[in-house]
Amino acid sequence: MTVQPLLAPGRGGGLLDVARRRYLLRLLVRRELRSRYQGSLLGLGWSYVRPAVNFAVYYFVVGIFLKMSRTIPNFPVFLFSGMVLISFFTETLITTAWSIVGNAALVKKVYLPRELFPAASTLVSGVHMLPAFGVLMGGAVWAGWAPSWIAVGSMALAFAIVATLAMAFGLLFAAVNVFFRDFGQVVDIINIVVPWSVPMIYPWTTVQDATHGGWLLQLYLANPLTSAVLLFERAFWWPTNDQALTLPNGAPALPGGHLAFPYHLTVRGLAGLLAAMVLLALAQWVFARLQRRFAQEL
Amino acid sequence: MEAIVVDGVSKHFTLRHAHSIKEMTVRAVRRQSLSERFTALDEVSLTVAQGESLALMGLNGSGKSTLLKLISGVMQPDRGSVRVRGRVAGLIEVGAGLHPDLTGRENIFLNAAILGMTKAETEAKYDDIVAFSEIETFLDTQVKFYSSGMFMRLGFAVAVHTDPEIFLVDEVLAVGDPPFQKKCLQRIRAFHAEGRTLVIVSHDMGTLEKVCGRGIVLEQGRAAYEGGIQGAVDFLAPPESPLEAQQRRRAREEAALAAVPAGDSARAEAELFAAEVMPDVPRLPDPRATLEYGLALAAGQDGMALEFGVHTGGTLSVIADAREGKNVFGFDSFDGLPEDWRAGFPAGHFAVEEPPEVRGAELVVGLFESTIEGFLQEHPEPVAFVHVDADLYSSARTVLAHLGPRLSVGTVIVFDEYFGYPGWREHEYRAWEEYVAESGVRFDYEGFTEGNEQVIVRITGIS
Repeated sequence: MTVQPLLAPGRGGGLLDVARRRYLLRLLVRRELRSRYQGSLLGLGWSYVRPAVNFAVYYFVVGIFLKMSRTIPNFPVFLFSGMVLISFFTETLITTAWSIVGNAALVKKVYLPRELFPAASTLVSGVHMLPAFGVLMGGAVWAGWAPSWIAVGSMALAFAIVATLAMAFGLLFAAVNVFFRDFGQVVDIINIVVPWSVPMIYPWTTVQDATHGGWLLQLYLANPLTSAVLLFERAFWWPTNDQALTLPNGAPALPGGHLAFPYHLTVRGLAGLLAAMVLLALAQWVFARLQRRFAQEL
Repeated sequence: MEAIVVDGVSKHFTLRHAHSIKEMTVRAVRRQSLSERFTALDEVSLTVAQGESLALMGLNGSGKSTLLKLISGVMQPDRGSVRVRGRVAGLIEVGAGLHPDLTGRENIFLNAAILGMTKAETEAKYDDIVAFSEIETFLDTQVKFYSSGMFMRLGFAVAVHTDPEIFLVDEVLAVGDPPFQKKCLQRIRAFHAEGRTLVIVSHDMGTLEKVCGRGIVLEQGRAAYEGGIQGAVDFLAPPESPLEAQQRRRAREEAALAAVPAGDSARAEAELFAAEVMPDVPRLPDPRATLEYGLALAAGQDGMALEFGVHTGGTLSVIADAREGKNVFGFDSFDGLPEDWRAGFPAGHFAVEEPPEVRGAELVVGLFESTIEGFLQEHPEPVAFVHVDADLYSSARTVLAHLGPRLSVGTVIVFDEYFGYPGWREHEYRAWEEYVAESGVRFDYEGFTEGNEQVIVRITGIS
């Protein structure tokens, strides 16, 4: 038998430890899915109902009453592609923020890599996104969508940005929420702002016009979530746009002659992913420091 | 080798009195403190050796649970260091990992994974866990419908089937009804016998005395006493009267005596030994059956049947019957043990007034070393069967050294105290191992008494 070294207990390897304990992670995800819909009639069906109602409200108010459908051809696909992504993000923020507090009994008594809980919450949100994603896919195909490299690549990049960002904020909020429960409220407020801070309901050119292309526009576009939403729209909405135009320089344009997407969207997306990854590393560092005091604060 | 090293560990807690800005302002205006510092552990150092069983004792709030949480890694020390060797698992409030909305079956898998088991490990132990928990019929029921007893049993059953090097137990020995408690205690002792390290927190002094070898008493976060478990118990709860002190002493003596024949850890060690070197041999129900089975193996073997250690002659007459009264000899001084053997058997034990009468057998009276040589000169026949009931290493060694040249292929030897008692590796077992190593004789194990000390060997080759 090999002699094992003397090690300090409870010094985890962070997210790497989570990867090492995939089996437990899977069981935790299953547990959360099971317990959330325990005793409900619709079960996982609720992940269809919520986005459907959300979609209907925006579609009728913004699309029909406020006549956004005229500015943006094929508005339903435009709206829904952004909405799928943003719902995933906002739901992840809420569930991860409460993931440590909600598992207090375990955190206080058994040492586990604590990152497991936010990670499981993120995965659960991912599972919840699947039905809506399926509907988006179906709607896009019905509207004439066909897979292409640029579509699939944009989708993957957008998803990577949002997942990384959600995990980063999730770790941060989960840890801080242990010490100040106010953060649960803060997350709710963030979630009111997020859907309006990205070009999901309106085209990005609205911001361009309002800011006259100044530094505020650059700030708006620097948000990785903005890039992700635009990438998702490029993946699903643009190929189904029957009024697609191209400018003389080859750039895609809307009927009014506006640019459909900002220039260098792919590069912006990659930069956004890089920023999200840096943020994740930072969040992991903060989480690792704060988690040492979880057991006594809960 | 040390399994746990706690070095100068301190742990403080901050009790915050104010949680909101309003409360903070109010307290600040009234010049009240916003928080209070509370020392749970103060410069505690201790080392636990591998295979040791340590009791952490103390009154409520003395810091023992905090210390356990530092060892498990749930909390980190403010000062000093904690280091452990190998996997740590614990019964720190069992059932923490159980989820009320899942069924018993699902909870077994989830809880086992939380405690670090893989899927394959859980599946392998699943039946044992279910059997231990005694909730077979409720496996597909959600845990929230369980009674509190069932809930605890399920949690405990999973926890005791993990495979940690270090096992922490926090005040859970009071789980369930008395039969279940007893089962848990047995399981914990088995852990100890397997060489795992145990750290136990409990207020039940009786249990601690049974399970632990050493005790540490904490007082307000400091180690106030460290030493033998009985001393620790007396330190924490001194006997209130001379009468109680006497009662306690007597209970301990009785417990020590009761532990001698059972010898839990020695027993477990013997079980492991048997499983390793003789997994397929017959397991005989009692010593008599073992002796008779050995005699049956030697039935076709011509020669003498010898017993060393006749005492009252009971087993010798069994041998005489089996050998039909031919060439059966019993050796004994009838003065008892020539030196101290194991606990409870001092020199002189087994002495009898006068040698017994055994039909069909001849007695050779005297110390082995002074009788065997002369006997063998008068009796040139080979040796077919030997019953070694000499108890002591020195006696068994003398017997084997003299008889060695007369042993042949097919000779059967039954050892009466081969293994399974404290110190067994120092007596008949050792004498036989040494003889085999020196003579190069080859042999097979042919049987042993289940839960007892007798072993049968048969010679298969002489070099």
